[in-house]
Amino acid sequence: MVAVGDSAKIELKYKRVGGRQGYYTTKQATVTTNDASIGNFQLAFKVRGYSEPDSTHPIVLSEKSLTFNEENRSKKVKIKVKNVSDEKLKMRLISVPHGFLDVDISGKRIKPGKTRDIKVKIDKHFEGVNFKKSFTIELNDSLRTRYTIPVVLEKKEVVRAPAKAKTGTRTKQNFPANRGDSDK
Amino acid sequence: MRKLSVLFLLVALLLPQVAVAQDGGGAKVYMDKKERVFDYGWAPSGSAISHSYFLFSRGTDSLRILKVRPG
Repeated sequence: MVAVGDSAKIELKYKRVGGRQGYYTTKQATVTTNDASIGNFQLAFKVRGYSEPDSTHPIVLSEKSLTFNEENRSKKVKIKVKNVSDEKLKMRLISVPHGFLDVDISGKRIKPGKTRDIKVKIDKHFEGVNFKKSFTIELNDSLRTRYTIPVVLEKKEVVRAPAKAKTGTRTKQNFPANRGDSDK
Repeated sequence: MRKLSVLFLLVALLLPQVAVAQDGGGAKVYMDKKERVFDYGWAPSGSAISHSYFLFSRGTDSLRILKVRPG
């Protein structure tokens, strides 16, 4: 329930970026509200996946995605952005999951061949143990090229030692199969 | 008689407004059309990504999001 004058957010998650490399994939969701005048309406997103940046990419990121865990969750992680185009580029933050991530991008221009950092850390107010989010940046090139960087905070799995076999329990390993030499 | 005519006039003036309120009233959702389609640009294949869309309640009644269905 959203009070008059208030706002609400709807988060759409795409669990696995797929589709043909370099080609846009579009997905949508239909939202139904109690606004009788509008009926249903669509929210959509488009994305194009890549494995390795090719020569058409204006920048190269040192990290395509980030993973935090309990050990490094309080640390600031840097992504180096190298301008591999022949024009000066500027980055702009388009979308960031507030309350989860703190993303600091340099507002300065990146000269061709030079690098600048994107600094990412987990929001200090976030108290949960895991999430899968992403943030999106946009360049000021003629195509307004965008990049989305997935960020995962994962709970470290506790590795337990395998339970010891009970005393007196016979296992197959203790008694290998008859190799045919017992009669010798 | 004068009182009656004033009352009639008042009713006549108010009626259309009531009708407008009924037509344009209730819950109203607002969202910028440009915001309805989000462009992630390039994203690593196989990764999980997410984006939040903001809806605004601009009617005279509370807005309820009844269902969000993929596709």
